[in-house]
Amino acid sequence: MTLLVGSLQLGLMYGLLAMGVFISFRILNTPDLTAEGSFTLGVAVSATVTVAGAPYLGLLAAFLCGMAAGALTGLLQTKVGIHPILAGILTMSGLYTVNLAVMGASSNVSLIGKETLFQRLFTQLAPMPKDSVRLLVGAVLAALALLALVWFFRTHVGLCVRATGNNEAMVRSSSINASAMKILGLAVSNGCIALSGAIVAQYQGYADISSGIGILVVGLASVIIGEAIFGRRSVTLGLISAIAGSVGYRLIISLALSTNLFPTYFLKLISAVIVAVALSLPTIRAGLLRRRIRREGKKLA
Amino acid sequence: MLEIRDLEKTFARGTVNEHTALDGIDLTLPDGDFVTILGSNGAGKSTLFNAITGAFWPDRGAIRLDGENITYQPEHVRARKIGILFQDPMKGTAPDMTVAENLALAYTHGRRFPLARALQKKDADFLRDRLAAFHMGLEDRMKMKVGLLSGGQRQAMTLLMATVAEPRLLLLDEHTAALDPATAEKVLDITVRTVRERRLTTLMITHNMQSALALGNRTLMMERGKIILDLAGEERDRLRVEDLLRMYSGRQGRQLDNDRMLLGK
Repeated sequence: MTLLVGSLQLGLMYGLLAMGVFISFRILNTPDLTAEGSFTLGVAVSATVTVAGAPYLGLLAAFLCGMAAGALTGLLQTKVGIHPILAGILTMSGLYTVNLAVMGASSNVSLIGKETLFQRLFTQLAPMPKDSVRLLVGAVLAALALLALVWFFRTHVGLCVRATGNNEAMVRSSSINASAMKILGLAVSNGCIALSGAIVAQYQGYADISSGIGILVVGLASVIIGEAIFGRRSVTLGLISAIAGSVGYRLIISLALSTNLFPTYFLKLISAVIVAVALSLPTIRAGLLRRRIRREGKKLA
Repeated sequence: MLEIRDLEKTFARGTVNEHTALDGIDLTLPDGDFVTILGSNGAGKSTLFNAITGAFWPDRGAIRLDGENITYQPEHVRARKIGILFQDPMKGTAPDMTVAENLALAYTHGRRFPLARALQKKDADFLRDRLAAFHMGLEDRMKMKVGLLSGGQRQAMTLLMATVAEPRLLLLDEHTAALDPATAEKVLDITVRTVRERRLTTLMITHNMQSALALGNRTLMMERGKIILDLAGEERDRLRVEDLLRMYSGRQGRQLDNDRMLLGK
């Protein structure tokens, strides 16, 4: 039961990350490595602002900083013409320094004894069990972000962002500014990712400079697990399935950890393997099909 | 009105591959002109279109649309006034978005607040009516992803998307060439109807000499970056495909080398 509740809490909070990755990976059609830096940026900003006494403002500030980081990667991709992967790597590397600076040149910040938004809500919603409060916060935040994103991708500008990721040639010959749409899409994506880091930092009660390492793969794994459950149909369903996939991912991980299948430090390797296997499945399936056709063709000959 | 003055473009200048694609093009299109363009492979037809849409900047010369100099205007800015259809039906629509979403993209752009809902009921009704006029069964597939449609249906949609925002100029770059003959005829038919009804100023590249002479009110023939024939009025009305071929070889001193043009006649 604790296992389930814990997975649900973390899954919802990391669901924001999964939605952010879904936006860059599936809607914009670019693997965006900025995520590694923007997640930590969210962690750092949220922790620092919380220490200063404003946990809610911390979430907002983290979201805005994440958007700025995404926009920077977008600018590098479009206005300067740097390869999308390299643009992400450049921003991510640069952010390492920025993140350290935000945390006061220290590689971690503790929130123990500070008033995080969870601490506040524990007292405000007093008789409610702490685990329920944590679950509520995760659920409300994920639901709000989901609604906002569903709305956004139905607006005219949201449609333009989707079209840019789907058929850039078409957008280039239309009156839509493709560069601006890419920048905007990456900003929204990284805003979500940073917001995820922001809430996770307050949940865990500390910020760590290395919290973003491998986070893109975690997001990708969530997106892929979600697609395995719901399939790939619409953007709305894709966003919902990203959250569901994130919960699924946490569940799988915590189950595996609780049965002592592998030590905690195996997590990143396992996530990477999940993503690699899932992404190679279509090719493997096509290869198997070709082999079967060849074998049957030979039999007939 | 489209005015092109002394347009020049040379690719790979100073190398062995140097190629003058546009060699002093002068062209004036009064409003409502429907011009067909013929020419052998590499004559500069598509290059001319690319210069007009802004895919590259010319080395010299000027392009004016309704008196405004658009020679160096960014692509997406001038695209508000120019609609274009390519040969490849995949180029003009977003495959993972629905028919309605694709159309809304073209229809509402620039006329509504960016954060307004893209697909409103009245737009959907309007767009469905326009699709129904094509008689291609598209009006019943508004919620379907465009990737599931046939090439002809996609091209018809692209035509609607290119014309729905009232462009000042419509460019058609062999937009029926990749379709099967029956579908091509159908798409061509709705193209002509649309152009006529809306009195759109149109440039159409084609390899079909018959339709080049039959459609529109003026025919240009291009060769090596120049306009070598500009036919209109009575002279054009009397012209047959054979005459056109004779005129071509007379001017160029060689046979026309566009296989599709010759095979298609």
